[in-house]
Amino acid sequence: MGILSILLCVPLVGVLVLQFFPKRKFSAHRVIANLTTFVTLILTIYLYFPFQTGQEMQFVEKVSWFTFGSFEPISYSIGLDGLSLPLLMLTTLVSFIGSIASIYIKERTKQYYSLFLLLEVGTIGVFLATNLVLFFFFFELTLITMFFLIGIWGYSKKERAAYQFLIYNGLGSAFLLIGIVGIYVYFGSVDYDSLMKVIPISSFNPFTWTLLTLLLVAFAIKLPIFPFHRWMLLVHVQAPPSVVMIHAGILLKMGAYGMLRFGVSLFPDYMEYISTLLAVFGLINLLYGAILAFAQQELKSVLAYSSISHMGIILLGIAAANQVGLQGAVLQSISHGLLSALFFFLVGALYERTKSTQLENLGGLAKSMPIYSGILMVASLGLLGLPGLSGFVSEFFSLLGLFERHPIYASVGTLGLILAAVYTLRALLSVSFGEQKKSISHQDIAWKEWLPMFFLVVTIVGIGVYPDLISSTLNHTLETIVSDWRG
Amino acid sequence: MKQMAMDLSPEWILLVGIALILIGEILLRENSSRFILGLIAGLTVTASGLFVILQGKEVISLFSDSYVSDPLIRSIKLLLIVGTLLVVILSFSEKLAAKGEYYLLLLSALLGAMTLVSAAELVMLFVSLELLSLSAYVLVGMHQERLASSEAAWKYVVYGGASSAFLLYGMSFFYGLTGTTSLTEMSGNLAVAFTNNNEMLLYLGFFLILVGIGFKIAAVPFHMWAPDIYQGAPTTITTFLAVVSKIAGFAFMLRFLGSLFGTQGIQSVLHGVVIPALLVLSILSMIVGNVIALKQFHLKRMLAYSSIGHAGYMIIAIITILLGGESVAYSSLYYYFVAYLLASTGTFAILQVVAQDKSPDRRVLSGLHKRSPLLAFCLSVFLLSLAGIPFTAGFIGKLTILVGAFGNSLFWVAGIMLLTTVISYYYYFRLIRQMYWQEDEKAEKERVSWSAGFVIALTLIGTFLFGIMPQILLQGIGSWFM
Repeated sequence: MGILSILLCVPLVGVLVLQFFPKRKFSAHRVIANLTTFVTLILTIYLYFPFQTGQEMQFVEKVSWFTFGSFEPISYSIGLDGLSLPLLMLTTLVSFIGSIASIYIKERTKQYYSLFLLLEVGTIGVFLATNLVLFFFFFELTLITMFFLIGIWGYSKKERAAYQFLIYNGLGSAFLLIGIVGIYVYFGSVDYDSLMKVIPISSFNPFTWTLLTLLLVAFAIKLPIFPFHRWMLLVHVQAPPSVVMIHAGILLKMGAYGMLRFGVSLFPDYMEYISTLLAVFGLINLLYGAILAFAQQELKSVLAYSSISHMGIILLGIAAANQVGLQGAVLQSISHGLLSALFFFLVGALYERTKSTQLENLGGLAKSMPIYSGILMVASLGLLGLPGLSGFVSEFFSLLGLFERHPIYASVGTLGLILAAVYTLRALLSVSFGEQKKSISHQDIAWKEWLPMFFLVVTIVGIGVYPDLISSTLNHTLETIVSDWRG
Repeated sequence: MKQMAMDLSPEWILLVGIALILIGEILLRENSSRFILGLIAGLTVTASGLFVILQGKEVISLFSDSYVSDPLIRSIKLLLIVGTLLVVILSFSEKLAAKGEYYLLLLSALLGAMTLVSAAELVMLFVSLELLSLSAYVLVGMHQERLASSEAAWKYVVYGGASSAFLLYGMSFFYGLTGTTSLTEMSGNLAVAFTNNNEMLLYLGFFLILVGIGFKIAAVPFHMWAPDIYQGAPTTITTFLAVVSKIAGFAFMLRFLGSLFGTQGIQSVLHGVVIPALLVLSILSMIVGNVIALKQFHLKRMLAYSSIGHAGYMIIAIITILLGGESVAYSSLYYYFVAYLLASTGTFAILQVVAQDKSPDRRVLSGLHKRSPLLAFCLSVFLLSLAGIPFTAGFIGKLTILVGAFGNSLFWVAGIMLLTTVISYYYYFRLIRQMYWQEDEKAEKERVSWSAGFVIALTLIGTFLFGIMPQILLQGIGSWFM
């Protein structure tokens, strides 16, 4: 059993161990979950060092899994490359912080943490899988566990949120499955590396277009892209904050990862061909999200629309169809993952104290909760793309790439950055500053809360100051992808 | 003679078992336990299964080709046997089984199903089908004191009788056209009959038979009986109908259509009439079954509609077999059978435990996760398998069907299959929601009898095993039966 399989099994072991504890031992459940996610984090950090830049898939494990008649066997194959490594690290980091942030969950903790760890298996597996069928297995695992996590522990409209999540993403999965089966039957394989050789380049045919469209729609629902975004708003607002950390931090990035992995690297020339279309959708997301975020009266909704806006930037980076743009897209995935994890940790902590996230009920927290407000400030600055924080580099790279291909769209895109500053600062001002609405002063966050938050802040600053941390591993993989585009 | 006895051994054993149960019923006192009869039934079915396995890859043909048995047929027989065995075990804790004729009828129904699978001649087909159906009519009405049960039996007799009439009428056309009742001879003669301007008669016969088959497998628009009968029948018998009787119906369909219109048949009829008719049947079943299931409050009715939807998926597998395009076709149908058998039997077993004698609506599941977390978990797994979620056998079943459909360029059907699957998420997950989100004042743990527990454990293991390591079964089908 290789190290990647061990990584996949660690959370499973955690789930098993959890089953031996009685229902009421809340603190034991927390300790086990935190430990498990911590071990996965350590394992991925440990993977970072022996990882060799300039090579294809590494730590590869491949075992024959099953065969359909005369088709090529489907194997259990996992591996890491420059594209999946940063996202994997994001996953384990956010999962760890997310499991710490789950202190606000106070009932049915055994079930909660079991599902949480299963969700982690799913998210890790999605980034490790190197064949489409295995990818789909893990993709669906996240769907099922999220359904429970939203539905049982969410806020008042949790059922609607859970069902919308299920039906939208179920449809997405259906599209994805059709696409996968189509690829399997017509190109005879589901392995990434053999598909990259098999799928013909620059011979556009309607069938391949259909397959690509199916895949793109599936990931567009996950990302989400403008007309498919409704479910995601509900989930952001109704799911418990610790679950939204995973949702906004990792699950949305699966959409971006899917587009890069299956769109750009399997069908490079097709993606280049539709880059204008992608750019248009990206702009719509960017501006629509930003404008609506400005109009929201509730903190979680502001963040939800800001997520839509930021996913637009990822799309713009992909639309750029060059190395800088793709680099921006991946960096934006990481950066937004970290920022939204931080934000929803903050939201959880806030809700715990104020029992409200309506902007009109908040205000003046800087006085009573200085540490909290300080971290919120850093997070907001990251979200609006202040240089020196991770948000800036990613947006800069995405737009830089886009300028090369579609200068006009890119200039419109910069508008989105200004809007981001407007809505973020508006939200920040009404939470931290101004008049305190209630006479009760809230207790500031404890070390258990600010320490993990601080950890995230350090990472955000780290990437902002030294983006090569990620780019160095990423670039080589992107180079091989981009080499299909005009040399 | 000795050879014939060996060749027919699985059926002989069932007959012996039936006789033993009859004698036992006479010898036993009226109020003494019938457990021993159940044990005899279980052992008989097991022995019959062993003999099916022992026959291996032999190809048997008896009574001038009216009874055939080859590995493919044997694989289906094995499924029927396993399904019946699970039903027999479930029945140990069923009060109805206090009557001796319960097991007797169960075995005779199985005997009918087994000969139905082996039959290669119209009369034999019909006789077997009637043996299966008549036994099933009585079994459905076993709850004599319960109105719903009697009503269900009555409806089943009426619907079933009508469909048998259609079937028989259709068969008479085929006999008239070809002058033979043997399916092997018929496929040759049919081509001659077809060229003699008798197409209309052929089509008429085909559609009449399709009505009969459609009824047996509960495909839309011949599905009306299923919800009422599933609801009224005792849960163990519902399981038998949903699993064994349905699989036998599909085997009949495959045998009849395969030998007359399969790859050696008349291609213009196959592509012009048979496949389109089946496509319509399949699409209607998928849509109607899954959409109406959304509105069902009664659990057994919901499962009835869901099984109608599953029939739609299985018809796609049948179509791919008839088109003969892909080598995966047969194993995809078989895989789906297995997945469906495991998940359905498990679901019904849990329903039997949870609902006891009450007629189960969705509320009986409320708060199950608190009362019996293990049961709630098992039921969730079965429902996920029925919904076709990865890591369960149901997903691999769906995947194989999809691969077959794509291989034969049946894109639209594959698309509809996946869309209706998404619709089905809604009602399967609603039950899961009921178990995990809805609280209930009832606090006592569910009492699980050992027999139900055994069946649930077995089906759970199977669902996971075939979902995570599909190779075991896929290879099994490949090497053992072909």
